[in-house]
Amino acid sequence: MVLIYFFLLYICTSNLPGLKKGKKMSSATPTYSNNIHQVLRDLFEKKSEKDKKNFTIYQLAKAIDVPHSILVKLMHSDPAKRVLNPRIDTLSKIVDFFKQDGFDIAIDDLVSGIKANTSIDVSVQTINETSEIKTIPVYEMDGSLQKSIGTIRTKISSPSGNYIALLSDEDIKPIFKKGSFFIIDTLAIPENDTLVAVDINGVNKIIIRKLCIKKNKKILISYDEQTKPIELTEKKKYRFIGVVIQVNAKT
Amino acid sequence: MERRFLKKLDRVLSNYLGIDSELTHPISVQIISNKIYITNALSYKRHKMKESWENFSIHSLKNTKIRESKKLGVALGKAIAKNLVIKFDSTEFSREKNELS
Repeated sequence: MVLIYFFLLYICTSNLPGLKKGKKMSSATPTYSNNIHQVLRDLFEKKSEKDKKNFTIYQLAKAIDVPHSILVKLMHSDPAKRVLNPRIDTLSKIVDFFKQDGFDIAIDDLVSGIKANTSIDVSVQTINETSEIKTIPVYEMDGSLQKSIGTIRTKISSPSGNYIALLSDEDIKPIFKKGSFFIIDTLAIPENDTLVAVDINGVNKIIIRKLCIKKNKKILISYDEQTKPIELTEKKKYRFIGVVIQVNAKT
Repeated sequence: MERRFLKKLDRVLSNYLGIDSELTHPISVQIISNKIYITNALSYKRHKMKESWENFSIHSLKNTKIRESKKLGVALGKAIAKNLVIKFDSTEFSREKNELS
């Protein structure tokens, strides 16, 4: 009797959506990227709708203390007349202005273009079961990298490289708590959209940021909205420690 | 005694029939305005829910199967940066003892 009961229970519950594991989500809205001028035009439209009156380039220029001509060139409909690599501090001022007005926008939205909230399906991801365990030296993030404070043993899914680990001494957005290990391949070439560890002259510690390369400009972007992006220029003495390929996150 | 017997029987039959205890099944990862959101489903529940990473990591990550949490780490890595993988297993860290010369 008990067995029959459980059998019936199984039949009933196996039809519940929650039990259908591995069910694929419909693929998300495809990513699209817009140029800065289009992103700005969208923002102007939304602000005009919100305020129920037309918001102009002149008003923005006055509010953020940037010459009107700069903004006109940034948003020009003619690509030949448009400025394609604006200064990062101009973009920061624009973002700060719209954020204070209640818009959800980050500097990355302007630099990389707005992505339409792409979602990544978890079930289709593959795990590399053949990765080998490596012993990796650990350093603190104080920038010296002279003496390791210990070692970790962990599986690395990437192919061969030269690995070191940095032990974070603070929370790093978006999800990394203090005490997480950032595993860095010092031989990997920093590319656009990679997470990199950088030592900048004048900054007392190694910083970990997302690298954005646009039109030969290298910008370090933080997921922390309070942290301003850093443009890496020839004047600014800096050194790439390497590319972060894995994070053993503290939970 | 009966209760204990029924509990044991319940466990044996649940394992045999593959009926899991309440587990979290992460479905997708999204970044919205620099914040991570996880859409997930619970066993025996009809609906999916979207929660911030802060809530998920506190309440739901521990109820996720190891294999699914590994896949979640791969998905999170992809969402955050190129060629990045996140792992949640505990890391064996051997601190060096300071040797005084």
